[in-house]
Amino acid sequence: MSSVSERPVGRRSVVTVFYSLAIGSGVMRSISVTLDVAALNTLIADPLAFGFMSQWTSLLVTVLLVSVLSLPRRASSGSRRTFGYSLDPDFGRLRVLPRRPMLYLLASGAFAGLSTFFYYFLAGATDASVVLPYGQLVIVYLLIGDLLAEKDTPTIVEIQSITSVVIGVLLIGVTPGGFDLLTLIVVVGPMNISSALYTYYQRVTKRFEMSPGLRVDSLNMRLWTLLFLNGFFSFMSFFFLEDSSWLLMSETFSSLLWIMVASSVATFLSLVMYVRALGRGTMAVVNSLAAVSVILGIPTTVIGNLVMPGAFGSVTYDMFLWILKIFGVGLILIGVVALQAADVRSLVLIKVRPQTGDILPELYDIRGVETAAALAGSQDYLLSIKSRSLSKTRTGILKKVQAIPEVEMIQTLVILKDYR
Amino acid sequence: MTDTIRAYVLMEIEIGNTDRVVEQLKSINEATRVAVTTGVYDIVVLLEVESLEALYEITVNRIHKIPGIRDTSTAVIEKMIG
Repeated sequence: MSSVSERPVGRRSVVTVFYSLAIGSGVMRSISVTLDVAALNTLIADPLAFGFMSQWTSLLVTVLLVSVLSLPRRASSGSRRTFGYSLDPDFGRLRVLPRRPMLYLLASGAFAGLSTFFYYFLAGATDASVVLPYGQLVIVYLLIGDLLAEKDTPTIVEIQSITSVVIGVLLIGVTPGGFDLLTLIVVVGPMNISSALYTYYQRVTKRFEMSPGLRVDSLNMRLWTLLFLNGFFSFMSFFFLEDSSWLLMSETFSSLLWIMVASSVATFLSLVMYVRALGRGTMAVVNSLAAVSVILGIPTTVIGNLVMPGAFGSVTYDMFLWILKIFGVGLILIGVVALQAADVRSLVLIKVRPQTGDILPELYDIRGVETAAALAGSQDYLLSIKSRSLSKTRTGILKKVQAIPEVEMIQTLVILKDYR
Repeated sequence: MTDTIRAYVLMEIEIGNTDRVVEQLKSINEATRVAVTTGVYDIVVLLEVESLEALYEITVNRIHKIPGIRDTSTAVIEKMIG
């Protein structure tokens, strides 16, 4: 398959598409969580049993959705594309991925399975509404992970951002009784570490280039991740599911089916958008934007209760707490989006002296260099670079390029607007 | 060995025409990245085509005919990392 007809430039700017995907993911996630809460409040009291059924139903729904989205249609341009192209331009059809991305997804699925297990385990011991906000602390891990990956000295803006996110998360998780310490420890420990590693492997997979210009698509990624996730999750669940749990599953399956299918579709769309956003931005920013799901839970719960009174939980308790939660989300968004807004992207054109060998790997090894291309023509190399500020572009990247003895001349083009 | 050729097209644009040129470039299916820049060039486009003949067709018959472009320089990518 050629990438030529499959991957044209988007009609909207990179920034617009990125923010739409990340926030859209949060909206879909809030719908999915609300449906899960409704199921646990009305039809089944065993979260682990519900999780077991819900996860495998989700896999079946995902296989069906990806199969339907693999059907071809004729695009307005005359070329043949699948329905899934609209969701992800990298999508061709349901397929087995190459070995390397498949291994990444296996790791991602294992960590997601661990995180999912702890989620359902805690949901049985405490209120799910306490677990979810603390889960947002994963943003801090990702933020630090992004900084470590860039091997950069943190600036005051970065430290301020991390502080802002931590305070924001604690505000979101506040309850009338204070902080649930045991839950906080479990969520901050194994659950969030697993989530952070899941996010890392999803991002690595999404950025894997199968052929020039064609990356792994988010639809197949969701399908395979879910299969591996279910394998690990089910393995761990077997040790905790009792005989009564299996009986409960057989009794409630038919009545829960519609709600599990609806939740699965919402989760599918949420994760497809989430993965696509991950392919375009840093992990921390995607997660912080998706954190709007914590606040969007309020309108979806209210609307749900209008349809089925009481089934979707209560939002009528202390409005002061909700104001604190809104402040919390605001702090998270300000902290991380400010960091993202400071990013500067540039293209650097390089000419080298005659009789110079290949310096492409040397150029690519400079941190901040996203892609390095060797060119035919008047210029010898073109680098696509990203840094936290124009000052860091100069000190962190350009000075290192200039330090390479073979480099004769460089020209820097700062990107004002980018469409990909 | 791949069947795709990639090339950067570096462009100088006449003053006041940048947005119009960008819109025209976005309609080219083979353009996978369009960046508006400051510096010696105003727009940089990444093209992905099947052959050098296709690259010729797009640069000469599509890009060069867009009003507002003053000058272009096409650089075929020999190797790319990242």
